[in-house]
Amino acid sequence: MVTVEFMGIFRDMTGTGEIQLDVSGIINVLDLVEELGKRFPLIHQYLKTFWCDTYKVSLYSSIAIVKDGQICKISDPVEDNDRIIIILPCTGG
Amino acid sequence: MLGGYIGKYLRVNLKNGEIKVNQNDQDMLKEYIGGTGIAARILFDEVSEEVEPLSERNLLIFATGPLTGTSAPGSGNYSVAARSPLSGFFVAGQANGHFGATLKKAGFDMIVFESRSPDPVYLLVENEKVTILDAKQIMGLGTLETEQVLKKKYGTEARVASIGPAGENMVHFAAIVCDEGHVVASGGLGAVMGSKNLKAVVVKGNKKIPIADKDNFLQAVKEWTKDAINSGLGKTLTTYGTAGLFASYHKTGWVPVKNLTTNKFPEFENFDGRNLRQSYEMKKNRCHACPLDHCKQMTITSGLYKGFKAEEPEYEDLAAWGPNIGNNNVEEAVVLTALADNLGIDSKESTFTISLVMECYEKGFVKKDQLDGLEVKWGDVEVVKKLLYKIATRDGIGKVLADGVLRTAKWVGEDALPLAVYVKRGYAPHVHDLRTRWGTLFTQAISNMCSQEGIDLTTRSSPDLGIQEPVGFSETGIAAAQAKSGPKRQFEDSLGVCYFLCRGDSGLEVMIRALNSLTGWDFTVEEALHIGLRIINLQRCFNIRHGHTVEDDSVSARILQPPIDGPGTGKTIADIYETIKRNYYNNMGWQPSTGRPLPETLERLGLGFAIRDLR
Repeated sequence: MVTVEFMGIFRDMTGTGEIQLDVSGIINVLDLVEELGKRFPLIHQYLKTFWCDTYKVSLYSSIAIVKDGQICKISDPVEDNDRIIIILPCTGG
Repeated sequence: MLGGYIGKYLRVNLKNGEIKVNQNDQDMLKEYIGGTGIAARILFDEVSEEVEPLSERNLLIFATGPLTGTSAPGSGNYSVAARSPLSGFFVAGQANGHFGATLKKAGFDMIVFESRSPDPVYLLVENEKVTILDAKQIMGLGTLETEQVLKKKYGTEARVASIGPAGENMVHFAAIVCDEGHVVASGGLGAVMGSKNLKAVVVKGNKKIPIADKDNFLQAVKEWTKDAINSGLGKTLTTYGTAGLFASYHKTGWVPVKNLTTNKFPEFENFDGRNLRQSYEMKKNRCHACPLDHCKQMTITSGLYKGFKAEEPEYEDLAAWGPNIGNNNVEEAVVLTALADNLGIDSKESTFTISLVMECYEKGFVKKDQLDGLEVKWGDVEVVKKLLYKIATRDGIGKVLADGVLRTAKWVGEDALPLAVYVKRGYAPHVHDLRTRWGTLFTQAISNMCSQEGIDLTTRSSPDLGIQEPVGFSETGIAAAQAKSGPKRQFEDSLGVCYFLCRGDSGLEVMIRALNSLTGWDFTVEEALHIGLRIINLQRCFNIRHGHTVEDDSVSARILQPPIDGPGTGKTIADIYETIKRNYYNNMGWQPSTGRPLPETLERLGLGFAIRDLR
């Protein structure tokens, strides 16, 4: 299981601050995001706004996935007992 | 005539009262656009190396951009620029609200203030009529009070930009405040205004702004607005303000706590916009043409501060007056923000100056009798209020603190220097814990304009710049991101639009379509970035003229120390910082060892005239 924590507007989209997720079938961060999109229609709708042929590229401007203080890329693995935070990507002060 | 511009600007000599109306140089505008860009060119041409920041020969420039005052989203924006008393370098700050839009509607694209008035004055610009007026009656008033007095005199449709006691006393980080809390914060521009004995600028007018191709302009604006509203940042700002980022930033270790001595701040949820919007009364206070509507006037409805009204603080104000000074009460942070704004003080510099003193006091490096008998302890909000007044009036210990964080550290002594949080020549960064936000760290460390020069791509991509993935902690990625995003940011800062409205996914493409249809120009994205690069290089040459060296592109020892707790524990940029810097210089066409633009780089940008400053 992984723990996924939602911050900011993602908390509004999911109606919760945190969920536990079974990692079977989830190999990497992109799999995780797609799974979240399936479970939470508002997340899917939000990401779909940026969905295009190169959606994977646009993904990084709309959502940031943080694990152990590091920003993850979509190819980064997701492993059992990970704690993942979903935030808005920052752009500076 | 070019669309977007009124076509003329003011030069006001405050010494002899001469007011000149000059026609815009359209060729120069095509190279520098407006706002920060055009201000950089004028300062480069006219402020030579011996001109001290608070001398009468420094210029103070208020500059709109072509989009200012139009229906483009977030177009209340304007820039103010000068040689900074805090850094000694070029500084450009920006603010939103309505002042910028109204300046243009009052009949002018820009005001250049020269020299120094013998007596305190304010400038009134009303439908192209310009008057210098006696300001004795409003001297000593805070910025909010000044605005109230002048709006009572000239009507609620008048807009006011003013300095408070901090600017009057030339505090090196004094700010200029307009529209009840929109702050031109960085680099001490309020001090430059105070050095000219200029208390306020009042603008009022309803002049129409010409548009070259109205249908295409409105179409571009419609797409841009939709893009901005649908972006994650747009949704966040609309719903929770910038405070809506507080909890996220704390989770990722980006909120500064107690002068970066820790990352622990258990009360972070109280400071988040979600709590503020639920707990306090909020009233709309929208900037000109802003579809995000994030600015609010808030009222505290119970408790010690029941009835207290103020502008809802931004994330940085909350971080500055909450965790960074060890204060865990959000209402106290709201009150301190309002106080800093009214006194006309930059929260960035003042929080890191005060938090330095707090840490020094805790460690015994400075004693009570050196601090006017004050026990400057973490979280003591009443003492912080006293210190802010002392800073603003240069009273007692305020005389030291008013010169900023590095000078304060030097006054305390060598024990304090490793604790101080600053970048470049000693001004404080934006209110983040930069130790795990390397993109933001670097964009401030190499900035040529006393603030954040580029866009932090640590956590996000920028497809319009060809950056497809977040750069994270990569030494090549961070350098490349800065070299690409810096020009974009400087171009944006010249347009006259709010930073937050430029963060949508369409990027520069839709902004340039709006600009082209407004003005009649025909820029491409590449040409826009070329202009941004020109502006950065010109700022750089100005700074080299005023003594900038490669050592100035740096951060303080405290920022290089790894966090001892929190998500960034053990992480530091120290080992790769110099490599990032050299990579960045290479990317910019600058000499890798000195950070000086190469002559061929300047020639390529049409800045051959600046080469002499490199010799």
